[in-house]
Amino acid sequence: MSSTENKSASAGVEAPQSPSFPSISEIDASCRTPVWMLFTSAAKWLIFAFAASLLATINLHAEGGIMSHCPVFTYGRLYPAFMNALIYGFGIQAALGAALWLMARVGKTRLIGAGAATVGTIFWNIAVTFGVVAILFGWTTGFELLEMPFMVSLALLVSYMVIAIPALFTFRNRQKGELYPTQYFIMAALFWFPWIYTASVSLLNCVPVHGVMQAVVAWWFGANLYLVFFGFIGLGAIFYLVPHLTGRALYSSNYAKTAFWLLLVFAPLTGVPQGSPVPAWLPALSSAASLVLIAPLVLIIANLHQTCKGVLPEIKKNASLKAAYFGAHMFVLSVACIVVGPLLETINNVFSFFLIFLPGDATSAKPFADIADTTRLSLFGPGADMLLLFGFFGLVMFSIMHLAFPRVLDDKNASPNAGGLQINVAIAGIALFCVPMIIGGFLQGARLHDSGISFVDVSNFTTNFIRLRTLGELAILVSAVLLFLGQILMLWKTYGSHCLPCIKGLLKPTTGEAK
Amino acid sequence: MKHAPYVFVGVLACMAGTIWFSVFLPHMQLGVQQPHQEKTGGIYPGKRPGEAAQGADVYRANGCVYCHSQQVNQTGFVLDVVLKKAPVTPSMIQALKYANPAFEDKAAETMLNNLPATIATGINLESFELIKKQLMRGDETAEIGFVLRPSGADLERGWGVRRSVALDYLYEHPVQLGSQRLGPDLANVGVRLPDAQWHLKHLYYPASVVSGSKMPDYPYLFERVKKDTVAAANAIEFTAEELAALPASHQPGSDEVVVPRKEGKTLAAYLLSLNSSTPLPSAPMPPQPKKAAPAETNAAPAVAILEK
Repeated sequence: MSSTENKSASAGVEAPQSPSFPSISEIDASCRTPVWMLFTSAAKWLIFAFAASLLATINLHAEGGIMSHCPVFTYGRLYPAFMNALIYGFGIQAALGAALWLMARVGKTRLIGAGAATVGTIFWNIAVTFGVVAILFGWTTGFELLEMPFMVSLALLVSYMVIAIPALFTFRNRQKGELYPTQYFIMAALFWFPWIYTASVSLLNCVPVHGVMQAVVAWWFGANLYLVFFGFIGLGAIFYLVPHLTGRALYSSNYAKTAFWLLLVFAPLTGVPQGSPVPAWLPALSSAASLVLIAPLVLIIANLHQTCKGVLPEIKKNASLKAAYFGAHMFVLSVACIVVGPLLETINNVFSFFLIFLPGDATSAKPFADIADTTRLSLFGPGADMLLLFGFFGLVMFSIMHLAFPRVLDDKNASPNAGGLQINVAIAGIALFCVPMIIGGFLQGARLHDSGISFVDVSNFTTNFIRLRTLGELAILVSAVLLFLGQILMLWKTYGSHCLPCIKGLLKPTTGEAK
Repeated sequence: MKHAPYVFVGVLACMAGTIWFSVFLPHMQLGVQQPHQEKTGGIYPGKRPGEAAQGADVYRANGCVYCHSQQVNQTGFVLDVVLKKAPVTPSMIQALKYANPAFEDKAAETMLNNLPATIATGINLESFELIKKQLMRGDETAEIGFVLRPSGADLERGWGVRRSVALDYLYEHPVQLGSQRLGPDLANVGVRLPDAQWHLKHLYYPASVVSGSKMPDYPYLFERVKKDTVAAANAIEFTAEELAALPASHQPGSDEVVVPRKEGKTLAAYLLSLNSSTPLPSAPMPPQPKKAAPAETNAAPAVAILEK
């Protein structure tokens, strides 16, 4: 399956073999409207998200509270607006755009229900706008990542269905044969989101669970959203992108299959922070499950590494390949951030277990610091989340966008490296955003654990890292603007000739009135 | 994988599995929790009074949770060494001085006459064994015991007297556990800082009461009114120093006073209602030592609560 996929993909446009076997350009054309609309809306929300984030962090280190007289511009409202715009505005729309395009491409069939997906996109954007405005005006549920009001959540769910069901029908209509990893990764993710979203929203808003169970549900949603939904869409896209862009067959579909099932079983169990005020078995189960994530991580690294052995110099010439390459590395780093705490704790425990057999009383000796405990409630967590959400998923989506956008718009002159600058700026932004958060979070956590250091000193120390993060936010904002401008330019090339007469027609009466 | 239906069934099974393990199982344990009946007849946790309940909405709407957690964590236990019985002999006094170099001859002797006494606080098991060995060297008949105390930076910082447990959040909706500590923990802020005026000043301009505070100010929770009006009765009573610390944009005019709006007043009431220092069977609080050897920052509020 994968080798034939590559042949047809690398050959670009191939003559159809049978009437039921549409050419690649036909497939791309069938995805046109929903895909460009989802991708431009995603870019728009990305701009909004990082503009909000920039304002939010400036609030934290600017002297004299420059924006404090207006409630909308306070950190406590801009930060959730940023997270929601990033997840529901950018993340899910980019994911759905990629899912529609990949389902059609990998299944070698035309997209079914493009009109429905387009309508769904419009309603999704309206709902996200309402949700973000509600958060800015203080109408929030108060659960992290699920702040949007209940009615907006309903609208989101319905719009999601309208966009995702075309992907399902397209999948049903695929060319028969062995399923390619992209297909099952993306299908699982598409089913996963409505499930976790319905369950969490109803357990938090309709029939609210008691007390700390609310936090447990919110953590469950967060872990599933990041690792399963965004993780699977990103991995599915990578399993298409890497073989497609390097022109090689995927090394092993068995590796991908095993990684898929391991992730699907164990990743949803992670997410409960160590030391939370919940029964102790919950964080223990969570850290045991995150330890298992090492296995799929190794399988994915091995698979991708074997696939693109020796073709790395090409990344300078191809923006999509560069984004996919760095995105895959960010995946490794972000899963490492999740795994490192439980892993070191296990090593500590094994170490102290063997010390029992030694003379002397040294059972409490630990070779490594307790990272899971040190980093909790510090900047480390949001930094690691951002690495997964924006470093890995965001970059892979940029890769798909740069690949898909000119193709669905049938822009044959697009250079493969047109998005190179945008990718470079985005990578610099991710480094400047996540590195201070992760390292600063670790140091902040260590200081919080030392009761000899006063809290004001800890917060002054942390502010330095937040200043650095501001630079990263600025860089990501610039890259988002570049992405959006590139998309608008390509849209203008395709639709400009249609639009120009309309715009002229619109302008004429105004000038007439002026006379 | 050739057969999509099998994959589909597998995915559905995983969906069911995750909600079973991560939501239903914890719910079977946490969903049946009942409030704790205190020995004094009170019930913990209680429901918030009306004004504080309105303040919880202000807390949620303004996203206080993105900087402040509401959970006290415990990282382990420490021991307090208690000498229960020992003869007053010179060798015992010498042993006491070895065990805790802070003691002088006279003090050690008085202590031995008034047993039981706490001779060291906040130590780990290894140091306890060491101290025990030294005391036994002084006199073999000495009886040495210990008190186990929860420990952790949060407790040492005075953010609470015990760790937070699930029961503390029984009636909260939404539960605002928090995920970041850009600001200090607020689980017990009502006990730690029991003054409504302090909270109002702090919300109006944090640096006026906490020098070097990085917290943004919330002037929109307040308004300025003329001094002679009825509303001025609720005015914040700034001291001259605090007024001087306010920047020009926050300075009330010469005939004006700063009055909290409804949001500010209820938010302060909510903050005052945050108190999770009731002893619970699931998070016991052994009595704090009366004679704490090092001067701990949280000693005063902790003792105050226990005596209440």
